[in-house]
Amino acid sequence: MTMTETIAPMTSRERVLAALRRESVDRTPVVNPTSVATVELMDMVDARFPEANREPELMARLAATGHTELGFDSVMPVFSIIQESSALGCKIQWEQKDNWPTVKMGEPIYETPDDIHVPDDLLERPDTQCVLEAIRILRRELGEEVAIIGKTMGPWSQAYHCFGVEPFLLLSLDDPDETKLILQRFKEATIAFGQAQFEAGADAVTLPDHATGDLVSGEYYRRYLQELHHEFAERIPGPIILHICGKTVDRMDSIAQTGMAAFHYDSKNEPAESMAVVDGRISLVGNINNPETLFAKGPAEVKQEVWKNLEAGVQMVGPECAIPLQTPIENLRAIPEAVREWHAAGNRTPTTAA
Amino acid sequence: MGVIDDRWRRVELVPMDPHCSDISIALYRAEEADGPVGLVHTYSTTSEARARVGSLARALQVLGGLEPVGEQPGCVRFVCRTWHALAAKRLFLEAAKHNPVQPLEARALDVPDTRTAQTIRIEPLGAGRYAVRADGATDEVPSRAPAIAAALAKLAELELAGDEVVVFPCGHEHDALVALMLTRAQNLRAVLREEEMKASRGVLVAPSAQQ
Repeated sequence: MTMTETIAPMTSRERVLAALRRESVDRTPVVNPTSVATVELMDMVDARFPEANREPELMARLAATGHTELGFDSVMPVFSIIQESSALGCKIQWEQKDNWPTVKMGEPIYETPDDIHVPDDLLERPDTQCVLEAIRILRRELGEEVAIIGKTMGPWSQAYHCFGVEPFLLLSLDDPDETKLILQRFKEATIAFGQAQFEAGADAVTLPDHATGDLVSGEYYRRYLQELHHEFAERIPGPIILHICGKTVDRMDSIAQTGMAAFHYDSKNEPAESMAVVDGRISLVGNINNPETLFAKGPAEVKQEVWKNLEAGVQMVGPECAIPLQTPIENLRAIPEAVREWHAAGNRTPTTAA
Repeated sequence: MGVIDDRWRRVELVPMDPHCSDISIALYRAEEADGPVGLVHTYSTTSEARARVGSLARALQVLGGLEPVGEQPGCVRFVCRTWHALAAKRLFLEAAKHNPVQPLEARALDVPDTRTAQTIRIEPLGAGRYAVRADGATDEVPSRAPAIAAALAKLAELELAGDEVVVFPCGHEHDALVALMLTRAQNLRAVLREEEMKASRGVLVAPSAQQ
């Protein structure tokens, strides 16, 4: 399609799916591959943490606010990163309304690869079932209007949760073969949960695999994860959005070769540099800063970051990661506002036609 | 209550109000023709939420000397018609701590010092100037007044005029506000620690950074 062609107005879902394929869109979609839940949204629809992480009706109701109240083109019901870990038997601190549930990583459940046991009924356990049912509810309630994004945790993140961060990182230094064995044993859980979410009605899944820029090098990514991520792209039947926090530009070339649809990237990476590295092989989504901008500044600063991404040609904009639960609603609403203003001023990205 | 209109910017949030079913409730600010105004607002739709907006706005008036604005419930402003940003944040947090079933009254301008036997006393000098006095200072236990004045200046963004005088930049009297800040100025470190903990709560960190 050339830049002069006109694109008919798209639904949010059509817009997101096209951007994941790097096809032309009527405007840049606003997408949240991770949570945009806040305590104020919880009150608005009476769906609070921790219950909204464990009861499908509440999970779906809170997730829907991403579209109905914030104006995003997607909804994402899997707010936390612990649903599968809970199903696997990790001890969870469920916390209160104003904080995230976390795995008690000081009390790991595994010590060796032989301890790993992915139960046959993983997808029937309450905290995985909750996600699947929430996706079904969202599809029923929102129809084909909005993109529904699920989440399945990658094996590196699962290893952190089940073995503890320090033991697993030390193992990755001392025993590469055992490390790879662990990742292989977790991978079927990642695939099964991803497949099940597509069957439940998800349009895409986020796959967080926390080989983060601060602890894991680009070389480690290539050694341990690139091939696995390629396998996920082949075996999970739908678009995958890989999520890794931190400065990751040193591994974006490798990530771009995995066949995943998109990479959810952090504000520690410059949009233009990141776009140059991935070079059209994978879509980028993000990278509005959470702690300094969305949480602590105002709509004007949020808009500046959105425009910087649009000017770099980034395919989808949104927060860089799960937003702080106290983020002001007006800052989140500034993201779609900024996109509309930018396009209304006659600006175009390479994938937005006139 | 729905999303409030675009002109409002959130100043401070209490994510779980212990005095009203753990609802979130916040102070917002907007620029109006005759100066900045604040608005207590909650997105909670519970029946008690509306009453809580009113009680919290009343607490801002009594504890901080703010005045009501128009008919909109929860709308307040500083009597000087300017905006004291840090003081407003801290006033809101202190007001939210007040149990609505307890009597509500402005704090006194003198308090016993928590670290010495001195009494700390605030003396209004007019035009927004307040002297901090420490009764009972001795050669062995020097006056706490300079430390309290410095803490007040930091807590409420006041100017220091010498070691023991603080000044509101607006040049107006704010007796209730300075009295409220006085109780917290005695342990500034605790205030800052509390704020730091509040800011970090609800922020999701990558598994690699979790304890």
